Amino acid sequence: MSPELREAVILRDLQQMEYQEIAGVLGIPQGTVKSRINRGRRDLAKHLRSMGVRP
Amino acid sequence: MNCRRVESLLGDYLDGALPIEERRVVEDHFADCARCATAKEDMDLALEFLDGAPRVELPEGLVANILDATVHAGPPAGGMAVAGGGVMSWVRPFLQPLFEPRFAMSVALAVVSFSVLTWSGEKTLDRWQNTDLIAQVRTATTGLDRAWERGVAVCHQTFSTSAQDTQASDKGESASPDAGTSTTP
Repeated sequence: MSPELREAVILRDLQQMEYQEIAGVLGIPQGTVKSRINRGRRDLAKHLRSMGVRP
Repeated sequence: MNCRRVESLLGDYLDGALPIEERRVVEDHFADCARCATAKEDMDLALEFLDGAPRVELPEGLVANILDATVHAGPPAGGMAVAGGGVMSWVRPFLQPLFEPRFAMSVALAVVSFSVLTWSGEKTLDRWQNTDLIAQVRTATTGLDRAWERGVAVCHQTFSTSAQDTQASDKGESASPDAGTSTTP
């Protein structure tokens, strides 16, 4: 997972920050924050699936 | 509702932030579209994994403190959790490059990543007991490691320049701008 995607996911899902806060901290638009989180979560899921983890 | 629209709503859907009507439309779409249904399953899997992570054992307010130290010149609210305040007061000028917003965030996230990594190795959840996972997380953190190394390199450079200036001023050469201020008109 690229650092850009990972930091968005960490801030949202581990630090429980709001989209607006993340946008402010990273200096990117909220729409970009949302798409990075989406892509980051999917990348993480791909890693997990590749290791045999199933929902 | 098309796939692109569903994708843009997915985050709010998972947060439970969508109005009931829109929620229903999204769910109808999942029933018809295997691709979006898979995307939703991926999100569920990732969130389940992240929810399983224990609350990260960071000093309280670490991220906020680092960012605060970046934005404001004064000491951060709630005390300096990163290091002792006394030490930081003189180390700070040398660490200044590390307090640039991007570096500060990278350092904070490296700590978070490390905590997740440690947790992965603790074997607290059978499902996630997987050394491959640890390797994956390690690989993922190398980008931040490099950012940190760059920061440390800049830090060393700043420190050695300051040390040279100090030595020069000890010999009365006043090479440092600070050392020369008393004689500058």
